[in-house]
Amino acid sequence: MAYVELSKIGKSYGKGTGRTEVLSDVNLEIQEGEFVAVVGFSGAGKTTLVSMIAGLIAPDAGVVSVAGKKVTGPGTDRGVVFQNYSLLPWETAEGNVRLAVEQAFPKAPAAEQRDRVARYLSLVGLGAAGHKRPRELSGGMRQRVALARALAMDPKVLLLDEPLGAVDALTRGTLQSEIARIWQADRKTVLLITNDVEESLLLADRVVPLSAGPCATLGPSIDVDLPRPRDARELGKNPRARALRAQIVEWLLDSAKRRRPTRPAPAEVGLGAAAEVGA
Amino acid sequence: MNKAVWEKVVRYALLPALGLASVVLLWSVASATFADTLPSPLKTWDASRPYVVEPFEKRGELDQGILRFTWYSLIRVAKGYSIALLIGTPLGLLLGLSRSFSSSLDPIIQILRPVSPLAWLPLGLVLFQKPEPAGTFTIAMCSMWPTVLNTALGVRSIPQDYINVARVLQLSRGRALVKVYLPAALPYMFTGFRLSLGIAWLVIVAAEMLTGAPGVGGFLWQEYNSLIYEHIILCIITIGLVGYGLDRLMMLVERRFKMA
Repeated sequence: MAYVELSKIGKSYGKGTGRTEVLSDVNLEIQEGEFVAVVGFSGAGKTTLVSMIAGLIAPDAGVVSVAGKKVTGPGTDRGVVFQNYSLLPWETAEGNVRLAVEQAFPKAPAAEQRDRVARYLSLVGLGAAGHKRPRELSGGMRQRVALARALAMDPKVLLLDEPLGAVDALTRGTLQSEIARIWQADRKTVLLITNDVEESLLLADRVVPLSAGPCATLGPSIDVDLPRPRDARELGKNPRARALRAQIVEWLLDSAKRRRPTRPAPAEVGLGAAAEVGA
Repeated sequence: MNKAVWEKVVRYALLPALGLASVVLLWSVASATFADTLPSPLKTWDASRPYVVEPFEKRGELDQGILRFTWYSLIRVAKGYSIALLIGTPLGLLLGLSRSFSSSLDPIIQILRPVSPLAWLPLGLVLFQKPEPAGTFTIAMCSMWPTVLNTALGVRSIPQDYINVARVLQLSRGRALVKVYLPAALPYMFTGFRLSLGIAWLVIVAAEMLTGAPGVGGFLWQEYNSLIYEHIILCIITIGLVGYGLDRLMMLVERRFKMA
């Protein structure tokens, strides 16, 4: 059985006629130690997907399970890195990480907790910036703190929800290599959500495209059989990488064409109006 | 003198002085022409001099230096204001955290909020049978609401991101309150505290007038009864200055807590 398993997941938002089905029949299996990337359009429901695994929202249909147990709420076994960092601005970088460590290892002695905080801050290259508050840090540095916070809990699964969506292109490149380096070192089970195909090829073992919404669903799994460590510049020239990239992009574009019309068909509108007049 | 400095002098010293001068001029003209009961600025200063020059002098129960009176009033305000904060903050937190609590109490708050101190004081006198606690009660009842409402608003407007952090880290209710909810709501709470203090100071005059307690408000009322109108103006100016000072002080504190 897969470590993270989503079966027949469906989720809708809104009420009555305004109700939209965001995700429908989503199935995904992630093996232990595997790095999977879900690539999709903005607004297709990627964050909804990750929030359900994190236990922040419950699916309307289907089951999410992690390590064989059904997900019913958030837990420290799943570390989440949000797109907008979500650091507490009144705490220092250290304070933010410490809060997570205290929650994940409540029984550990204070000295051990302190060591852990320091270790993970230096792992993301912020050993010297621990005393700074988030507003004193750049976007890239904030996301490093968020990454340190998630990793320091030693979660079984790391959920990265477009972690590099809000940082500039240069910083993104650096952070991508950092994430690759850190993952190579301790091989956590990772789900990366991104809208950047390049990024998914650089980092993941397997890429799963998410179709355009509404009613988004996952496409066929594509194994990224490229040797590691991967280099962003070389990836652009590598014919295998280009073939994979083409395959993913093509599937995504096709899914957008196949997408159901977002507005009701004219006939339905006509009927609805007539019904209202009649009433 | 360079231009920027000059501009600052004009804006922060010259123009305010000009405004003040024109009000004093208007006041003199008014007292010299149509408002013959209004004491002129000069007469006001002459009559107020002993109270201002020896601000802490105590010559009798209701004949004391103006800052001594102010001190009494401030202590009274501090009592009522502390009670307002001690009740108002937890009440606001509950209102912000619980929807059903908020639905059940919001109408009552909206009805009690606009009630004048002049209405609360007699009820306080009935309840406590003594003027001093009745005054404290009135100050607390009137000044509580901005703290209650702003604290509730602060808790309600906590960004979903922070709530998600609390949930993902599985913070307990108490820990989430201390680590996430309170710090996030703090800037709003301080706005409430500042507005509450303003109201508490506003209410002091009414409370002291009706109870005859020694303080700026009590002094003002007594001097009206003794026909020494100059002292009414002295009291008004003192109340205004102290109120302004308190507001600035709270703004400094508030600014310290605003972040990111």
